[in-house]
Amino acid sequence: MQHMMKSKRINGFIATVTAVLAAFFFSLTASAQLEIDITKGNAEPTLIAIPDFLSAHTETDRIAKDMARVISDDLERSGLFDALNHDLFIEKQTDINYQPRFADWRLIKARALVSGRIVRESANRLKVEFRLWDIYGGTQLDGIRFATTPDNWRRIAHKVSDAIYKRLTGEAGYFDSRIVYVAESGPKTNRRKQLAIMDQDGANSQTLLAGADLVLTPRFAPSAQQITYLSWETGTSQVYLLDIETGRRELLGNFPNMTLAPRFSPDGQSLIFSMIKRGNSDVYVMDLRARSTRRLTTNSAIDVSPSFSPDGKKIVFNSDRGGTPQLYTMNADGSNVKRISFGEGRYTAPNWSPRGDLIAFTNSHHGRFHIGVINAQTGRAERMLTDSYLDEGPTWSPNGRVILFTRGTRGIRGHSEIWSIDLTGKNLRKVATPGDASDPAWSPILP
Amino acid sequence: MKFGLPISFALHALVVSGGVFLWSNGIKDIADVKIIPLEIVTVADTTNVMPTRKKRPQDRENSIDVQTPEQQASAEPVPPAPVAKAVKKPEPEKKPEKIEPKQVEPVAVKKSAPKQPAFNLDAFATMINKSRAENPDANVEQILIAEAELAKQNQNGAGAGSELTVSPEEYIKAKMEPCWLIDQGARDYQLLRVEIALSLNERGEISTLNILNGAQIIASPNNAWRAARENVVAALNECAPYDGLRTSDYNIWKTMKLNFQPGDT
Amino acid sequence: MNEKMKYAFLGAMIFALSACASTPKDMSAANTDQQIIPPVVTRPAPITPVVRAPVRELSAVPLGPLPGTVDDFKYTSGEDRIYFAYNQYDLVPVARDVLRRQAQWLNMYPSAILIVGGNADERGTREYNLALGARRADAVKAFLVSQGVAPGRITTVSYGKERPIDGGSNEAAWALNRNAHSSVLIGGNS
Repeated sequence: MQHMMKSKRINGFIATVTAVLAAFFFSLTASAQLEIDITKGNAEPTLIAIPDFLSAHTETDRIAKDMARVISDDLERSGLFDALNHDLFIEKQTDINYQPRFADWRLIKARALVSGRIVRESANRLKVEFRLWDIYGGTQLDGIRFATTPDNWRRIAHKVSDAIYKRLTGEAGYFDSRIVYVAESGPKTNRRKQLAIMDQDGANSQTLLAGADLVLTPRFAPSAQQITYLSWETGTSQVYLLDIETGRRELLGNFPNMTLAPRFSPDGQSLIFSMIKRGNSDVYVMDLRARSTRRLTTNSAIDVSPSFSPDGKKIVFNSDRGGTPQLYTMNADGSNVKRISFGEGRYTAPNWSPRGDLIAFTNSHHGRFHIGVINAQTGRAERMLTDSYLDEGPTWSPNGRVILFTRGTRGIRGHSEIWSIDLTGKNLRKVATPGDASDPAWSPILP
Repeated sequence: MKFGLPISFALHALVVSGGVFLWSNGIKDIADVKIIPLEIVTVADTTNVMPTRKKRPQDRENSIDVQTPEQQASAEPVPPAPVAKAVKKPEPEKKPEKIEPKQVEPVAVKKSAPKQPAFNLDAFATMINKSRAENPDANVEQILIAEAELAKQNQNGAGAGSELTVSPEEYIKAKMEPCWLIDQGARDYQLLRVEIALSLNERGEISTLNILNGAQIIASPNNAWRAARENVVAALNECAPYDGLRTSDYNIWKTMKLNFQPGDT
Repeated sequence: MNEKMKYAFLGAMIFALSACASTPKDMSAANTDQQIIPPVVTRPAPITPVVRAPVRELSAVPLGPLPGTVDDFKYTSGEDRIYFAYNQYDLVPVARDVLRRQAQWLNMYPSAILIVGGNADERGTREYNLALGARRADAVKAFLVSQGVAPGRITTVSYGKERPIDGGSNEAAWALNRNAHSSVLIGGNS
């Protein structure tokens, strides 16, 4: 009773307070300056002007043009930039050490300008300089000089692209990187699959390992020096290591059992893979120095395709322990297994983004295949990025923004191709390869 | 019994704060309604500020057309800021050498008569179309969504109407949409809020532009936030002048706080 | 050994003529120089992708392969592949019948060594299908062992979806490609 009385009195008091507070709030709202919440923009690419680099020597004229083209192509392929056609340029810079006429560039709506030049120091040595200008801010955003041999000009161009990308997006670039993949030839029923490597833009493609007829799932070590892959040279599938600089090749562990699905840990010190014993595949991890192997899963279901989180603390893998193939995460020691995929269809081939925030995967549902991403922490916010007869095996660009995958087409004469998609689901592109190709794996940024 | 009073107090506090919250929202709604005089809607196609789709060739044609050489010249005097941050450490080289930026004389002065841009607009359009065609945005769904979005915008167009009918808020929003580029692939892009204090002169030109949460942005480990800040500043500059605002309301829009934060798309 | 190879070759020739099917190269027998598989299997091993009618009925040649030889295995068992349902690795009754005949043959020639290759159709992703193929191969091995074949005589390998016998992209092709293939590495007479 007493309590009720008390609370009534308080009620009255609170009502008064409410009124006062509300009045105060109202006065605030009324007198505040105009405040506008802007939530809508657009996802169009940024317009950027990349004139041919200046060249003071006829020997470097060609490279000066080609560099601007390679940089433009890099940036445009990212989907975040649109390189303006050179015919639109009003100002023709003759010296990159002068500030550009910003108004001329504003007129053609360029937001950024890249001006560069090549200085030939000797027959065997070039200096490449570039400056990145903010057209609306009227300031230089970046300026870097590189020195190199003339035959190395493409890498310098990619380095310039990386610097521009980093400065304008705030995130690391991915252009000075390579892709290892499986080059395919022959009919579907007698396919020859060999290891090949190329630059991220498809240039400089070459066979890495001739001889073996069936080689699959190559993956880069964090050093970008070594790859791990799968080969049937001994008659069964086994994991190999290959040093791409020296060509030295090593059969990993020489297990009596079939091994598959290898991937390096983010520190490069260990290798995670699946081993099959009596038909059952489980996830194992091998310390590459001590050569000691530890079993991480003991389930009687298929446990395959493990992939480390970039901090090395977690592993995502594929298992059909629940009846259908789904994605699971666990701690690096195998504890704390949790299912993270709950959508429709079958989930396979997970790959943890190097940025850490997303896990890419392959989903198949109603006879269609999709590359999708899911929030790595929550397992939510699933987005399917692609749709085709057969999309599979996502691999991330070193900055975690772009995904490469294998796309297969139907039928006896069906092709296998490498495609790329942005993590937003935009900017779907076919990656040029000399012939049919599959199982791409992106290297880290080259040192 | 001992806890009766505190619990009661806490519950009441909750109710009160809820009430204040709801009430304040209600008040705000009324204020919003007041600003948009829906009954005066005169649909003037010529003055309608539609959130246009960014960077279609026609848009560029228009914006280029209106630029006169005089305007170019007036837009010219950019103080040639001495390039402070000239050189970054080049990765492959051991010893970074300085690129010595020469002091620049104002280009505008040097060049008395800016040449008329020799634009072939047809060629421009073809080039843009070509470059678009070369990026086959094969995700049909995306395109469909974009079309649907556009249709929606057209329907909502009445709100974003001419100078006479539109509130400063609607005007600024409509004006920013085609200019503000959002990098949807950036990490946590929807959290990258950029708060701007903008003051305009009576012609709608920017007199000052301050980033209110700049310290927070710089302190963040997410560098994409800095890029988002630069995108906002570029958008505000590119979209200026904001000359579609009623001069009689200059007091209202003289200074504004603009909060840029990508919403759900 | 030479003798045997000769017979094997003869058997192969006869078989190829009688079956008259364009036979895809069997990958468990396909060889690269790195492989450790004995050279016996480098000759073309003629294997029909699917034999709807028993081989014996098709054969116009009165002579079968020499008993106990590599080719006799398939000849006697009637079939060297068994087939699976989509994403399954359990043995259907028809498969069990085939495997029983395979086991009989293996029990008849206890020195013969068998490789079982598990295969999957193209509608799965690469690594999962390798694991699935391993399951299928192991299901065959387990059954043969249950029929009295010593486990040490059977090696399993998975090719996932890498070795389709029908390149088509339709139900019929996929059904053929979901299989486990038994091939005798070393005949029973050595």
